[in-house]
Amino acid sequence: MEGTQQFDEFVRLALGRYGIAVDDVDLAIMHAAEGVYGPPRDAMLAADLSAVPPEQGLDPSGPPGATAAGESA
Amino acid sequence: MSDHPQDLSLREQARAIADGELDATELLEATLARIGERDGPLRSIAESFGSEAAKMLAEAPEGPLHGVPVAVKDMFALPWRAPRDGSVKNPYGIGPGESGLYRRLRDSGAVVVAVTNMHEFGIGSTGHVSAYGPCATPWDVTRCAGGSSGGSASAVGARLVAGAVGTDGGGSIRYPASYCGVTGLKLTYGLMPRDGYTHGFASMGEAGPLCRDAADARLLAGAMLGRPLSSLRASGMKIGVPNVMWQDLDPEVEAGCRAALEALAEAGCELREVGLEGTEHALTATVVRLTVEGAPSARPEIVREIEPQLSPLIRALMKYQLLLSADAVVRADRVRAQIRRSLAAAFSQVDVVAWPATPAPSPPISDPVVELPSGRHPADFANVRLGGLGNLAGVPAASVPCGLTAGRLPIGLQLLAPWREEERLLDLAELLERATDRRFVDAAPPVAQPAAA
Repeated sequence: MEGTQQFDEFVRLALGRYGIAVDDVDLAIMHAAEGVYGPPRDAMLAADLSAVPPEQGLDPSGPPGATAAGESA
Repeated sequence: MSDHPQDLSLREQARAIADGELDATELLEATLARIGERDGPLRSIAESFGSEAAKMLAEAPEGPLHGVPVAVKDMFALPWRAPRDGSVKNPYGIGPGESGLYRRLRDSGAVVVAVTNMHEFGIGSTGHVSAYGPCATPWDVTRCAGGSSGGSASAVGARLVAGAVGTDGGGSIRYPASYCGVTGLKLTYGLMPRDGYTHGFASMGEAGPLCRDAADARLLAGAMLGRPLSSLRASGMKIGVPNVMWQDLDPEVEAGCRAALEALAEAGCELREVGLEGTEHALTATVVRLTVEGAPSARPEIVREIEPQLSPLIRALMKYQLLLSADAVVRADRVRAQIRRSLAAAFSQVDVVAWPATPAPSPPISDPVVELPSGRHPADFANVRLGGLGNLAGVPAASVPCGLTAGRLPIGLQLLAPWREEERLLDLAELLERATDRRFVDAAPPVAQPAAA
């Protein structure tokens, strides 16, 4: 219950900052979405990706380029 | 045996017109009539165009699709119609005009006869949320056509048109192709012009053809690209099978896709297990990329204008998307880099990689949830786990019909090839068609059976 209230408060404050109103239907759907997509998102946020270098100058039309010299992991 | 011209393949229509055996005006009229007769329970067509299509036909140049009607997803500007993205209005401010896709089709001689239904704003893999109503698969009109290109797949499956254009930003051609039993091909990112495409800003989405079989998809893809796609031998290809993408599947889907691989092996292909990295976060990385590119591209004043008319689900999800953290974006891009490198490494060992297009057959429109060994999941959640890799990487990807469940719902095998190697996918799809005696590409759904005509 406390988690739900915190989520609701976060949503209202965060979106309210940009003048976006949130009603109970919005919140119910967001709760459902958070229940589905929240755990895998949190798993990604918790994953150690430090060994994965970013891809600079992404161009999805071709294969990845070589990691640039000096890029840190 | 039907003598309706829309029961001909796309290439048969094109050849018959070129040879003078089929009158293009009669084909257009028959197409519009069939849409009127059959589309009611499917809701695959958002709008059809009698006079505009007739004008296109009158002015059609010679070309590979001279006089052939095709349908286009509701994401492309036409001279007479602004795209609506499956909603009341597209939120990006794109009006009527000649989109790059329209020009390519027009220059090939094709006639745009209709715009197809789609999941509202492309935010879904089921097609059951749209301003035009929920789109159904022709195999069971109580079940989803898939999304977001559901209307294109359903219209082709029901023989309303022999070819339609879809787009795929997170599996959106491959899921409906699988659910509707048609061949769908997402082209390599960047091959098509972006102008007049509602999601032209995105680094994930690309257009592609949906047709009944690979030869038709080859023809329509060639028209879209402005160059023919060659046909080579697929026998002897090395097919990579990443075990990680064959987990948590509906048993009938897994059996159908494994049987397809066995048929390809018997036809001379070599199956090899390959590893892929980053797949455990592919779902989240796909959703994050689609979110971060989509929502900020919408014009706030248009969103405010149309918000009261949006579906409650999409309205809430659009707001939810705005809560995305920068940390998630940075990490999603790391995952994307990992997946792109891993796929590139796999393609140094094999010609294509394969796994199911969807983990389960089409779910009910009334409850778009799929049953998997791990439990019940929203279809979107389950599908994007399998479809997102192709978009994160940018590679061409296809879904080809490879089976039917006991309940006669289609099963699709997903194939991915290296960047700009679309021909490989079509060659392999044609080999699979031959190896299975065309049982699955020629199977007609109930609405296309002669008794239903």
